[in-house]
Order: sequence, then C-alpha cells, then structure tokens
Amino acid sequence: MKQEAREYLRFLWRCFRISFVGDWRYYSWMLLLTGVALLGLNAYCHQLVDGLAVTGMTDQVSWGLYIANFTFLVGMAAAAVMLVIPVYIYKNEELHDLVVFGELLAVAAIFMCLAFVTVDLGRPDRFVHLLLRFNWPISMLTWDVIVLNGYLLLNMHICGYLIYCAYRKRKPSRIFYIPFVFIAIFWAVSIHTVTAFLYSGLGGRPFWNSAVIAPRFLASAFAAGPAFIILTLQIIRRYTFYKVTDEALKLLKGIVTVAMAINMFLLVCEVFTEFYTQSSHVVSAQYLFFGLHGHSALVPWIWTAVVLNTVALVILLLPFSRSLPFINLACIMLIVGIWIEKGMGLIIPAFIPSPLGELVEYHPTINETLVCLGIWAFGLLCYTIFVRITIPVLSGRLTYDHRYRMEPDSAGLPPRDPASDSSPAHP
Amino acid sequence: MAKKRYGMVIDLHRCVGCSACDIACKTENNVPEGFHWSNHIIETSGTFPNVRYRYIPTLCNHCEDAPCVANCPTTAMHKSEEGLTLHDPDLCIGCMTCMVSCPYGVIYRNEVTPHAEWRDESAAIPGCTSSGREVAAKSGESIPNYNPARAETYPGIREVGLPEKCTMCDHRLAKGELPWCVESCPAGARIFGDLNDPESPLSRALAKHAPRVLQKDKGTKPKVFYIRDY
Repeated sequence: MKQEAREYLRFLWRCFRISFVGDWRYYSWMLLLTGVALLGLNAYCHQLVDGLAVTGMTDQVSWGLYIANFTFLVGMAAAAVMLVIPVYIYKNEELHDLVVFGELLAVAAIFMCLAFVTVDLGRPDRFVHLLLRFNWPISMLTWDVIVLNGYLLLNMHICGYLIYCAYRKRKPSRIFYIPFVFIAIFWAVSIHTVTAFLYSGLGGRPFWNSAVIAPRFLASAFAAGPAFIILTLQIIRRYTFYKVTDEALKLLKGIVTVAMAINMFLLVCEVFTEFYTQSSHVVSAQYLFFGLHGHSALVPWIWTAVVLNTVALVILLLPFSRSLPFINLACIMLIVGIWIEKGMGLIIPAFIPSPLGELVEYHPTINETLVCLGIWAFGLLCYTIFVRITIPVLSGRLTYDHRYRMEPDSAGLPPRDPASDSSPAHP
Repeated sequence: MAKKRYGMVIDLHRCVGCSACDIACKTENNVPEGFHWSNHIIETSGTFPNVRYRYIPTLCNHCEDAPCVANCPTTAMHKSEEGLTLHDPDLCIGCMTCMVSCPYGVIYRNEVTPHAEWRDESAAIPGCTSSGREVAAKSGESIPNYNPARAETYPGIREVGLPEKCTMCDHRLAKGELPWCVESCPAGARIFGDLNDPESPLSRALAKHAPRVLQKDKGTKPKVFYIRDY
C-alpha cells in the first residue's frame, strides 16, 4: 500500500516534470498562455476590490460575457461524449486511443466553467453559503452545481485511471472504469440539459421560454466540441509521434456535420416561430437580429455567426472538404460561430428589453474581457499540459520503469514516426 | 387568530403620479443612486392631441410563487412568515439569478459606489453653503449603505456586491407601523394590510373593485394589486 502510494506520487511528479519539456513552439505557446492568464488574474483582482461595477453588467443586463462563455464551455465539456459513444457503444477502433483527449477536454472545459461562474459572483467570499443552505431540488442552480462537479469527478476518474494504468503497464480493470464511462454518457447530456433548463425555467425572460433551447444546446455542443477535438488531433499528429488516422478525423467530421445540420435546423425552427407569429415576445429576437429602436449592438455579431455557421456547414457537406485543411477551416469557423451564437446570441438579448421595457445595451468593459481571456488561457494551459502528459504515457514512452528522456535532435519531442503519417495533406 | 399575510393595493384612480413613494423609499431605506426599490412605469398612448398618459407605481410584488425564491441556490431569497419576499444578505453569494428570474425587474445589484452627493466637493453657492462631503462628515453618517431607520429593528448596514430589493419596510412593520411609501403617499392611493383579515381596508378594497396584477400570465401570484385606472 505504502509502496503504491509512493509510486503514485512519483507518477505525479514525473507528470509535473514532463509538462516543462518541449520544443520552442511549446515553450512560446505556454509562455503566451501564462502571460494572458496572469493578466486575467490581475484584472480579476481589480474586480475583487471594486466589485462587479468594473464590468459592463448593469441592473438591466445582469448576466454578460462570463455566463455567455460559461454556457459555451458547458457544451465543450459535454461534447466528449461524442467520442465516448462511438468507442464504447459502437466499438469503433479508430477512435479508441483518442477518446481520452475528449475526456481531458471535458476536464479542462469544466475548470473554465467553474472559473467563469466564480468570477460572476458578486461575493465570491460567500461561496461556502452554497454548501450551508443548499436550495435543492427547487433551484436549478443547485442542480447545475451537482451535475458540473459530478461530471468533473467522473472524467477525472476515467482519464486518471486509464493514464495511470498505462504508466504502470497494467491492463485496466473493466469494473473500475466501464460503469463510470456509461454513467458519464448520460451525465454529459445532463450537464447541458440542466444548464438549458436553468435558462428556459426563468419565466421573466420570454426569449428563453422555448422548448427548443435544450436540444439546440446539445446540437451546437456536439458540433463545437468535436470540432475543437479535430483541431487538437490535427496538431497532435502534425507535431508528435502519436498515431491519429485519417479515418478517425473523417468520423469526427461526420459527427460535426450532422450535429451542425441539426443545429441550423433548430435555428430555423426558432426563427420561424418567433417571427412568423409576431407575438409580443418577439422583441428580444427582433433586437438580436434586426435591432430595436436604433439599438443594434448585437446585429453584426449574430449575422457573423449565422454566416460563419452556414459557410462551415456548406464546406463540410461539399466533397472537397475531404481534404483536411478544409476541415480545419470549417472547424474554426464553426467554433467561432457557435461561440457567438451561444454568448451574444443567447444570453444577452434575453435582457433587452428589460421586464420594465427599458432598452439598456450591454458593452463588456476591458477589465471584464481580460478576465475572460485569462480564464480561456488558463483552460487552454491546463488542456495543453494534460495532452502533453498523456501522449508519452499512452504511447508507452513514459512508464514506471522507463523514464522519458529528451531527444537531443528535436528538443524534447521524439522524432515523428513515418508510419503514422500517411495523410497526403500533411507531407 | 390566523397568521398575517401582507399585501398591498394601489388605487390608480387616487394616484396623482407625483413619485412621492419613490422619494419616500429612497429616504427611508437610503437606496443608492441609479435604482429604485419603489419605481414606476409611464405609458403614453395615442397621437397628439388624442393622447393618454398613465402612471403605474411599481415595487416588489412579494409574489406567492416567487421565481426569485425558487431559483435562489442558497435560500438567501426567502418567504417570511407573513408572506413577504425577503433577502438575507448573510446567505447570499451574489450569483444574480434572482435578478434574472424576476419578471418585474425590481431586484437591483448594490455596488460599492456610494451616493455621488456623499463625495461631492462643490457647494451649491460657493463660499456660502457646505458641500455634500462636509454635510456627510458633520452628520456623522459615513457609511454609504447604512439605513439608520432600519437599524432600529434590523441590521442597518446593507452589504455591497449583492442584490437587494423592497422589504415592504419590514423594520417598520416590526414596530407596528406602515411601510413608509404608504404613509407618505399624499393621495392615500396605497392601502397596506392583511389579506387574511376580511375586515381589513385592503380586503374591502379588493372585494369592492376588480383587482389586477402585473404580468398575471407569469403565474407568480403577486400580492401587490392595482384597482381602478389612472
């Protein structure tokens, strides 16, 4: 037992050490992220001192950029399930070694989510009250606390167990992770559904009182999340020896395409219901898409999102998108498009006009934006470190009896294995 | 005797639209600049010269099925025994979900900035009157979010960074007095009382006229009723 604990601590120490090993690209990327994260921390300290008054949020628009990013990232976290389902239910071989990157993305995304809700609190020092007087099951917020933290623990357990088994060169015992994988599949759906219910359950905001919010959340999440994983895998296979097949990327591309098509269909459903009936509740949607009484801050954003999403979907559907650079382009457009749609397009217009009919527009302040950038940098930093640790461990180059050594010719990154690199797009 | 269940009737026919209730609330509760626990909606309709002007005083409706209470993750927003919707700042984490869930927009976020007048260095008549800062210092009231009147019965200092709302002057109710907006209405348009007591002026007014509530379709069962028309 004692021996095992010591072995585990050594594993953690080696993980810590290896996250500082890389080539110049790795160092500059990590340096950039650290710098931005520290800037964000500084901005958050300003907010702690002066309160939420330093943000652009007002009494009328009381949730802004923080909750918008939170909503988007809950989707990113839930999207890991789109790798888990093909592997564990349909027994897909191509994705089998890649599923852990999806789960690690879930962990990093939940870190960011928790950071975004914490910075949105007016009194973060009172956080402990949440535990003292937990208003469960009435308040949807408490459900969200449970599902997000539960999902974090599930994914940390699954990834941690598989990675540690690979490190100890053991065969993972199925009883220790298969049940959790299946719980996590349902849990992933629940995190986004609960977040959607949190919004659609608020009677005072008619813009959110739509049954299509939860399905649309899931559809857009299952497009944006796998798109992000595609980009990650492209980077992994370009710069490391880890084997990522073309078929795996094609499968993910298929998932992204279908999810995106459903998302666009649901958008059409929503727009039709809002504008064809022209009920009194259409004002928020009117403000979002066309502007209201000369206020039109969100109009350029939402149309950018619509164009980006449509073009991305067309690229994915057309035959030339079989070449991988086009997939990358479509993925980037799609992530940006969905980010706008979830943030500017969903959270903010619900507050405009306010229940009293006031038209107060929301403009994020620089401080607020810096906090957001800082949290994003922190999350990407975590994800980069996770991936950096996972690749040598899963490929058997870092095990308990074999210390990972830096290769002198490529500054830390071992030479690429030519056998794994068969893509014509990346000669 | 049955438990009390407080409610309010606003007689729009008596209301003269003077905003005395807004000012009374501000002075009684020391409500900061930029928001009003007691507020009003102004509706104008028609085209000149056939126009109509309506003035509707608003405040927290102390709803029976309050969405702010349901959505609060820490039970800081709660229903009192008398049916008032109250906010306990000691339990609040400041997540603003109550503000988002309120269909009436009557919950406000209190920020650290005190009244500008407290910091005002300029005198109305230079060299003659005192500046706002001097007056504040002389009167000895240096805490910007302090309710001297409320401090007689309940904690007087309001926390910053948290949402807050109308308390129906529960500090005055505890002393057997009426809410200050009711007391100070020059037209007697506000009737406050016990909904469980059929003999109270409130219940009589509700029985006599057809009462309306704001945003009935939200299903929140407000306890601030409007009778007649402005």
